[in-house]
Amino acid sequence: MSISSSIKSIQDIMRKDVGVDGDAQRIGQLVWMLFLKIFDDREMEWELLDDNYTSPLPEQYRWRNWAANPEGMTGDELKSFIDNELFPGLQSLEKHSTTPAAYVVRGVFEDAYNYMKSGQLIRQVINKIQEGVDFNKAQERHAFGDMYEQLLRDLQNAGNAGEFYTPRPVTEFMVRMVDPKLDEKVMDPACGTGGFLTCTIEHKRERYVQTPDDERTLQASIFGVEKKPLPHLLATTNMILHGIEVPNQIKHDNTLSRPLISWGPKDRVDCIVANPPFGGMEEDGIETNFPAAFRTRETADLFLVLIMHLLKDGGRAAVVLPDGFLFGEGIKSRIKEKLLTECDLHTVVRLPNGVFNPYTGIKTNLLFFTKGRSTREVWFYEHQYPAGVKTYSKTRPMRVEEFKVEEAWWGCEADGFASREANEFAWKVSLDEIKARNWNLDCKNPHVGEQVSHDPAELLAAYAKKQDSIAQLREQLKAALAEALERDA
Amino acid sequence: MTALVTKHLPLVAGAPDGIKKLRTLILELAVRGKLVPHDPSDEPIAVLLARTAAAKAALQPRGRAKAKKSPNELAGSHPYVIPSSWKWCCLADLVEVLNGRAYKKEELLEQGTPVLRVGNLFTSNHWYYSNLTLDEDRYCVPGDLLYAWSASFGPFIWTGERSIYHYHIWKLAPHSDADLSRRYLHDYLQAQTAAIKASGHGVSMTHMTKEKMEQLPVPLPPLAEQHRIVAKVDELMALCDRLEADQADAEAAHTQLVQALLDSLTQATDAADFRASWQRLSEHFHTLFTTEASIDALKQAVLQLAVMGTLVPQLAADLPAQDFLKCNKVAADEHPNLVGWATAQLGALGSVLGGATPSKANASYWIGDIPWVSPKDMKRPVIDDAEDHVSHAALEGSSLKAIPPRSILMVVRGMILAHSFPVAVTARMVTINQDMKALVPPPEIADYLLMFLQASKPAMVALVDRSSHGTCKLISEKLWSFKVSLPPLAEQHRIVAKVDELMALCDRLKAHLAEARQQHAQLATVLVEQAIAA
Repeated sequence: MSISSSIKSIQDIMRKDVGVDGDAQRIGQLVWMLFLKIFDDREMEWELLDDNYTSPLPEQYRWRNWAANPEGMTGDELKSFIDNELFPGLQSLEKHSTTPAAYVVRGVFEDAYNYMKSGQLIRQVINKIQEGVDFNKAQERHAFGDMYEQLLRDLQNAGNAGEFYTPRPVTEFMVRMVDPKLDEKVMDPACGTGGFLTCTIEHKRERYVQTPDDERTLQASIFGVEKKPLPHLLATTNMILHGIEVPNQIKHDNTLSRPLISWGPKDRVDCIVANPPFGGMEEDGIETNFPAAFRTRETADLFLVLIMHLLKDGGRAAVVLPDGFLFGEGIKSRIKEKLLTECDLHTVVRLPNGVFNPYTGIKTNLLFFTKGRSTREVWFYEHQYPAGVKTYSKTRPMRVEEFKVEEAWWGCEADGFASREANEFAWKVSLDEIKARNWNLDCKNPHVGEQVSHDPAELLAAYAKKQDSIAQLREQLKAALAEALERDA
Repeated sequence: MTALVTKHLPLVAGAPDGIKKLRTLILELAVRGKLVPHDPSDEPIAVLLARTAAAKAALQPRGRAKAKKSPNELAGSHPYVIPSSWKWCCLADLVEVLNGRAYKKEELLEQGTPVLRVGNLFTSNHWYYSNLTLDEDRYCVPGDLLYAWSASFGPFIWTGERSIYHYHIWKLAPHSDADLSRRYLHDYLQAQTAAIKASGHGVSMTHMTKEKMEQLPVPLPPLAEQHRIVAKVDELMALCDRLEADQADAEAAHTQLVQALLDSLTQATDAADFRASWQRLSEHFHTLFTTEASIDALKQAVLQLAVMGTLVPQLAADLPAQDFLKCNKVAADEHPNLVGWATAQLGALGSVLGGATPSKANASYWIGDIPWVSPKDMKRPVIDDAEDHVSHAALEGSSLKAIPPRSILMVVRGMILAHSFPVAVTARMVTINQDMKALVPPPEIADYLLMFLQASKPAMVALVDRSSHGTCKLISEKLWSFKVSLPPLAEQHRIVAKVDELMALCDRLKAHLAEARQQHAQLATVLVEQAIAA
């Protein structure tokens, strides 16, 4: 049975359970079980390679022992085992083992929750997972990765759970343009389900990984932090699916809850790619972790200040921010001033408002900047919908090919983007102009304004001319019809 | 500069959204003192303002005493120049801004005094009621000026029964009733609302506070002039209403006329009738074909004329259609009227193929390069690709059939059949789903056959069956027994060529008409802008 139909059957079984309410909970239920199964499959491989391998999990909690046998525990016995032994045991796993793998498993179960109430139905779901997925089959693992992406996309439609997922084409484009090298440390301080990090992993693998040593360098270079339980769980699983053996560098934490100054030089990274949550407010007191000038409770703003701080000198970042940040005033102006003085905000790609459909219609922008030198000018690029497309939707989503235009136009940071040219979708604004506008970055495409005249005399003349050509064309059409229809019968 | 607008008034009125733009113009001119003449014998504005200030002071205990900007301090924030007999004021100088009461869910009942919520001012017909007795301020009666300030916003003069206005609605109560025309203030706020909306930019009404509202600059004319302005606005708006109605009627009449004249041509009973119908069309050609919709109607008529044999001459030298059809084993009869033509059933013209959906459970079926065509792909007349693709494995593993190039594809199930009949010809090998059917005719007649079926769209739609739950189907019996008239092969080529030529001209004309429409809209916008700014 294919993986997609396994997942569908599993979701159907879960719908019968009274404890599981809605898509987000179904996914939350599914993921910890998938995680244990995936982890068990990985352990089987590790056991083959290393005779001395010992599992970080106590024997009775390993998937192969309590779940794998289809005739195994079920009903009330199973439910009680999961709630009273498995979860508490894994949540205090440090008592049993302190390896990085144990840390990861504990982290996952800290955030996991068993919603299902019926032991029988749980057994049915487990059996479906067992028979449907063999994670060690490489092809299946790849197919599973795709299926996982689909699950995450579905989650986006499940109401406000969508905040953890940035569309793939956007993350791919951002990672591609930042182009993190093999040994560069890459971080996403609001990693959600890990989309930017998986793109980074694939990017590095495709371009820079050639030996097992390289792979080890890669694995050590990926860092993420996520504060919410469910996406952290999803991100951890996502990392494993993309070959990060022990994803202990994905921390379950609130990046903003540490004082800014407590992030020292050794915490700094070479690249940051992120989509911080918009419109959110942090709890009272969080803002005191930040210098007075930037004390705001708006999450996205605090993240930008943090990101600037976390970059090494010469570090590169790409961040998704809404229009509200570009034209907002007050503390936002001060943050923008800092951004343009301490960093080179060289490019802003302005996206149309359908990118996050159907979750929200907000207009967003991709800000690309490098720390360590001041901005001279900001290039804006207005991303266009493809021909004939009015907006993005489930049946007509954004595609990564759409960014080919931007990539062709991009140029090279090494020469200061000398090859860039202004055109109908690209224009540049100098630092002085932005300063004069009080740091308002909401610069509109001047090209559109130029084309449309506001001189009535000019317009009247053009209109009259147009009417003439229409009359001529109509006369031509009439003549052609006449020639065809007025023949003698 | 208003002279420019007056000179080109028909042009502005006839533009897309033209009347809407005229209405905006009327309001803008009204609040700038450019709509009605000034009368120096009107009571000076200062006197009116003094009375209003006195009335406000007398009512002071009612609201919270707050230090408000006096009218003079507004000097820096005058949005535009007003006549010298007018004065800029703060809204708070003229009215008190009263908050509507926020009701709890359990206080909203099914009977009692109506509670007016923002939704009721716009689209909602659903009403809640209250049995509470509140301060007189909390009620609104006919004539009161209200302002909605949530996601939908704007001023309203209340015309309903005595109600309690809800949170997100302000009542703007004049300090001195006799000294302010509520209608004038309403119209000014209306013009302002349009300006706020037009500037867009994400400034939502959540940024509009009571304090900001109270500070809103309002240009105030002498009382008598306020009333004259309101009267003139009413007069002109009524004119706009009539213009709009007339326009709608004219548009409807035009559409009907175009269709009637085209029908008289395609349904002409004999040669004389045909000549007369064409004569009429030709005489009025320039007034008839002025819109994109009329060109579309013309295109359909051209198709129908083509397949009726009236577009190109029949030539005796052409080999009769029946000969060709016989060679291709197609059962056909001689056409009763047209020399050399034949008639046959659609299903007899070639092999008929159906579609299928390969198993979705098998992922390998769905990764391939064979287009799998479904109704959503049928938006073009030539199919060279589709949204979905299947693999060769799918062809072998399911009941899917390969459909060769130059086959005719038709949609036979789906809601589109309620008003249209999508038909196309394939440019390469494809597969189809089960909502479609394919006909593989002798390739030489594929182009003409496509045109014939396009011409027959209305007749096909008439054959569609609607089931009890609304699904539309074209059942095979009806589809395949449809009568097709075929000219000799040589004439088919001539017809297709002539139709292509005429369609190309029509499309060019449509493109020009679309451009002209945009230019027209821009022209109207600019003329109105100029009139306001002058």
